[in-house]
Amino acid sequence: MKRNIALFIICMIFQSLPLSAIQAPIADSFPYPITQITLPNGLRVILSEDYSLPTVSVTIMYHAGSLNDPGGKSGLAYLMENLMFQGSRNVGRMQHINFISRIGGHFNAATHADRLVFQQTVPSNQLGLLLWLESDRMSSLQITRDKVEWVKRNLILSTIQYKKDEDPFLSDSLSFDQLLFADYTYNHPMSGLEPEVRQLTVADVEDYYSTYIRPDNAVLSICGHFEMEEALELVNRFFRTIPASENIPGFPDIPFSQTPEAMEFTQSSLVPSPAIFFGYRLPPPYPSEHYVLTLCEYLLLKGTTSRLHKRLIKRDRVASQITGGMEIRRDRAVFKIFAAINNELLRSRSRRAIVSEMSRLTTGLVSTEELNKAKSLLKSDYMSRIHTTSGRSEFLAEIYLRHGTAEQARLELGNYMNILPHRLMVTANAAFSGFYIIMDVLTK
Amino acid sequence: MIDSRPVFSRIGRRAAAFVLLFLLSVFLPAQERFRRQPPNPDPRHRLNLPRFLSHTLKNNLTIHVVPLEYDRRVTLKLIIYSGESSSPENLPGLATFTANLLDKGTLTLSVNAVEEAIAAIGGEWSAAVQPERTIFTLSFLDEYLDRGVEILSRFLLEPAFSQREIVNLQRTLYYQMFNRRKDSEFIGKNLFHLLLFNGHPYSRISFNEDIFKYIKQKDIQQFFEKNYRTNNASLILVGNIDLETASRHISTHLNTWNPAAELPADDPLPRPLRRLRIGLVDDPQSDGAYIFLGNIIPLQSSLDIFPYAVFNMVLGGTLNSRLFMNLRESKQYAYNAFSEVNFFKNFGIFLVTAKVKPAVLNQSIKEILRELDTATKRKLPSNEIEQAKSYLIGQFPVRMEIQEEYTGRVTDVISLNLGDSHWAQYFESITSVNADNVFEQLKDSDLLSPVIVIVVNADLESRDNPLLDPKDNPLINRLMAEFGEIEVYNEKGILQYTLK
Repeated sequence: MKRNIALFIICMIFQSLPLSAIQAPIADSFPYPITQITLPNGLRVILSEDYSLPTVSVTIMYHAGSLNDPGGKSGLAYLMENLMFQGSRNVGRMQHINFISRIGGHFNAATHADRLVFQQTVPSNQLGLLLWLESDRMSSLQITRDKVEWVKRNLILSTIQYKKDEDPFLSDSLSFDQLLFADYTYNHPMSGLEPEVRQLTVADVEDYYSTYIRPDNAVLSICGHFEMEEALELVNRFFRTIPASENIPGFPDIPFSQTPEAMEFTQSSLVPSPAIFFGYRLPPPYPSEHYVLTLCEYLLLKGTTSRLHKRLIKRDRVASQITGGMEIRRDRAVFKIFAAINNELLRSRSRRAIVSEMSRLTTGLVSTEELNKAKSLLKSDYMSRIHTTSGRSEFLAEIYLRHGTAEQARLELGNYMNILPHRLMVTANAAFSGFYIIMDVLTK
Repeated sequence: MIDSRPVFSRIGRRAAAFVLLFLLSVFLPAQERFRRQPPNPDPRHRLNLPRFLSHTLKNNLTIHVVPLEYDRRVTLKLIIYSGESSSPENLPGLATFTANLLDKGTLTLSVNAVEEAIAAIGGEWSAAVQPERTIFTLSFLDEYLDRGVEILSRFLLEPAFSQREIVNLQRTLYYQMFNRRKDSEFIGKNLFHLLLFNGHPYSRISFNEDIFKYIKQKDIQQFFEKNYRTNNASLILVGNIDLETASRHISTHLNTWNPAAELPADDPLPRPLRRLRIGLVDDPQSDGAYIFLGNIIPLQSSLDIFPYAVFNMVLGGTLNSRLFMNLRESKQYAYNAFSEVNFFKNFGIFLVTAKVKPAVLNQSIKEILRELDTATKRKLPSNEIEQAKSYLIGQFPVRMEIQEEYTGRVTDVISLNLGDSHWAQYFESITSVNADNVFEQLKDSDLLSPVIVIVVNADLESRDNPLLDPKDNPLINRLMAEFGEIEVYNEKGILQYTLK
């Protein structure tokens, strides 16, 4: 009872603090200039110069992802991502990759729930080439039946198979996602369900392309060694005349539903060891507390000194592997934990250990020393990310999509570093005191 | 004679195509001219890399600092100029074991306390053992420079090497290596080095997991005492840091670390193989035929590195290189086919790796040898050389963005004695490579008498007929007909028998 009263008082004190008191920027957390413009066709452009090395990175992020896969057409966004390398009006099939690799550059692409990301880094004198390549596929992707079928067969379906072969827990993990995210829109796998992928057609892809791969649905982020005037001229030349869509549908609006009670499931699989999936649905609104919950992830799961690693692997010796963390799919967030346990007899002890550690986080103050350790690990990861032009250009585009301005990047690290033990406990209490979902995986 | 073909045919297909193009250009939306071709690149921007700043402390420990503005993480590399070749002949693996034990507790810090201390500075620790050197990496946030150096000093000045941690590590390393033996690539590379170094101390890098149980506490202590000395080490720091500050912290924490009265003698240089040698591992779990083919390349000076680097790009460094285009794209023998060149002090190893279909194993090896033969007998075309140079010059700064790559380069320059110019004049050195100096390097090399290691499911111990003579095995039969003698090894690199 006393503990609950104390918690209530802490909640009241914390809620009365003005936001500015907890949102001070951290010096040097983003020591690069940021310029933002919007072209007449709606393309948002972020430019950030850095002359330390003669390299430049371009990220283009489309604000659409697997959440925009229509019902029964899972894998469409992922198919779109792969087709973007299969040629446009002036760039031959796979030439995009050849152009970049021939000059020593590297590229990457990814499909997320709410964004498609295309990212490449090249020597700085080749900025024009990157913008030419990106603008060509934005304006005139050549979609044919042959290409769609080839990508489905050789990239999508083979990736699905490869992932299954590589990760024996994959199908269980997907089953758990279905429990955690509840709705098909959020819980279908990014690479698609095999029978649905097989049914995807040229018309589906053309529709997705003409709807979402538009300048007014994209953020273009350029970081590295370039002259501003020249970069702006190139951006204007290649992107200004690409017509806007002006009619981009928003993301599906599906109401959040919390679990009415703790939910427990069991399934048997061909897996190398028994396992436990454990998770929470985190109530919206997102992203008000995601900074705190990300820090919780570091406390609980990051590295060999994290709470769950120390408890389950080192102290109790009940598990051989423990992973997890926050997972955000646009306006939905979950916190999930996966533990591969040593044998079936240790299952209940493992479950108790996880519940006990989650409970400790929600009811006790984290020591300053432990909190600082988690912050150091997080800061190190953050610094590592923004140190490269590729990491930085993607980071800025992400910040733009999330906050509507890339300037918010300067506050990002501070949002983590200014978190105090009280706030952490209160937020953890709100997030993890609700009902959890647990799925036991038994070995067949 | 009267042409009986229809009018359209008489006009000719060329004219028809012209008319079609004209109609298309009228009815299709016009394209802006600048979209048709990629823009010309600007002149290349200059690469200005910071200079290495060096200082030697009173105890003979040399410190090198490479300042990197804006990077808030420091990477500290400790190089010990002794690697697996310094392990006793009867105890290969001792260098690896010692390196991995270094962070497993000190006289004043338990293993857990060490892990906590490293995590508290946002740090990571790793150890890598090579034939002739051991490299430790500790990266952390720059605000914790003093604590980072202090942690390192504890490892070096008060190592515990406790019996309990030795037993733990024996178990951990045994299972790590045991599990890696399920990987055909690991098996193949291990055997490749064993056959390539052929009795030279460097061959001790190819030990197997059975050795760990023989390693005793006193072996570790002796190895540590002998090799972990200031005059057998260098410290490199890369990050937002200056030499004076770094020297002050290091001097404070490591001033009692001592030099050795006598340094371990240098190993003789390994020699290239002069006749083709084939080793085969029958791996039932292998999902293809893995080929490892290569030889030692002597280096007269550090400048020899550049022609080899360019040749590697032409032959097999990328998806556009000859091996990939030939073996995979053209002949469809291979899942992949690449080459790599790794440099050591005064020599290098040129290695071709390929995963091919077992049915075309012989043809694949012959194709690789043919590619090498062509390159060593005729000058490479200039356009391929220029393409390779363009790739290397472009790739260099792109990779240097990643701090691990950056510090790796710095470590190579210092530990392989490549000199400042290797670093500062990288672009110029690559630019100066041409077909002549590549050919000069290749024509006298021994790339055509390589070690070839094959890992394949050869079904030697046939499930149907255990008494089958290996020579009757069709795969072995074909290999022997083509290449002669074959040495058969098990997955641990132990010779089983030789087929002649």
